[in-house]
Amino acid sequence: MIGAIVRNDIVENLIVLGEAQKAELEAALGCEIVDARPYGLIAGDLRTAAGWTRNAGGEQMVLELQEQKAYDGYTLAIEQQKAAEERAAEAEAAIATAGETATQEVLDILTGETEVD
Amino acid sequence: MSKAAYIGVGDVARKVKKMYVGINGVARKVKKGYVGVNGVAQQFFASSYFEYTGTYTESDITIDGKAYKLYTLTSSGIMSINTIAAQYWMCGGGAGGGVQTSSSNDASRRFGGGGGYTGTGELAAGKYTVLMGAGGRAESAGNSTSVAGGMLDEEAQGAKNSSGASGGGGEVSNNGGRISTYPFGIESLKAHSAGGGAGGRCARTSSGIRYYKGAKGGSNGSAGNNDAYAVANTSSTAGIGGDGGEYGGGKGAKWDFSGGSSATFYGGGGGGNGYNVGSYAGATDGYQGVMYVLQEVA
Repeated sequence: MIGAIVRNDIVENLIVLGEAQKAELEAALGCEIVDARPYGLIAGDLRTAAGWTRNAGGEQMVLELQEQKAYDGYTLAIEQQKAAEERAAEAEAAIATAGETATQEVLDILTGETEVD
Repeated sequence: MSKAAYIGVGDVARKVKKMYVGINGVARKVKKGYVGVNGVAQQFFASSYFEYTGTYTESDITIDGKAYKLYTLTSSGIMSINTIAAQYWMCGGGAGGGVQTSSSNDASRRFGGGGGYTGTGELAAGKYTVLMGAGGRAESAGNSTSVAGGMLDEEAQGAKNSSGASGGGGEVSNNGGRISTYPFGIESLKAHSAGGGAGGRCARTSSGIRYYKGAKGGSNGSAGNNDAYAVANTSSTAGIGGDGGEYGGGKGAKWDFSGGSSATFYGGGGGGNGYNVGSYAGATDGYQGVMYVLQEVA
């Protein structure tokens, strides 16, 4: 399992351990070890009355139960990827049918941003 | 007093490597032997002794003609070891690949994850708590591996994003630890803590759509490459992710978010995300740390 070492309700570190070692390590370290996967805990997360929270831009955001499926970053980004693929397909269709000026306008509409080398 | 015992065999003094005594019909290995000297118990024998409650493997290895036991610890636990000379080498968990979330020209955030930092030292006889650092999730730092007990309290930190024992790729340079990541300098154990490759990129520039290849992650303590900007191409096939460093660094994702892979070896960093004109995905996870214990055979 991936265990979160928790002291004063703050995750200090994530470790790899077997279930059988949880109790002896808690005793040796004088801390609590909780399963990190359900909430995808990382170092610095804080346990509050509202549940596990993470600092994001100065605000403590409550973490959602991930049912262990979103522990890796790739899975977390799948929904974003699908949406981006749709936008990319639309952009490529526009490129095929329009000149450079028109493409620029389409991309501006689709992305709302500009990048310069 | 010497902790080695000898016995005469054919007029030659032979060193005793193992001893057994019969207890209730079962042969039990003698770990330590004592004799009384002036009313004081003095140790005269100690066998190679290693116990660990976590997951580990054991192998035999010869270095400069001398026989050793090599223990590879891969999960956390309590380690007990005797007075036979032993040393450890460890690395922290690799960082997850970087994620570019900004719409600015912030390509450096597509970096691959750094490889976990390393640490090495001597082990005295005693009991130690070993914590095995987990790999970092995408956009998260790796976690620390540590060993503590007696007078020893040492830590090999997990990599912090692009920085680490080996650096990740992606326009980020000067971030490798610049020390060898071969445990005890033994090349057959492979270089550890490889950096992850950076993600590929599709960007709209003043001269049209351009694709950039992700840079390769660092290996054996070196920094990751930072040459991604040198590759700009109008072909979408150019925007692939950078390879991970050797050995086992994660591969960066392509500009369309495909093709990335998590790190596959101890301390390795994950691959960076792909980036497509404001959208991003595909960053991957770093790999856990490890600890090796090298103990002379008595």
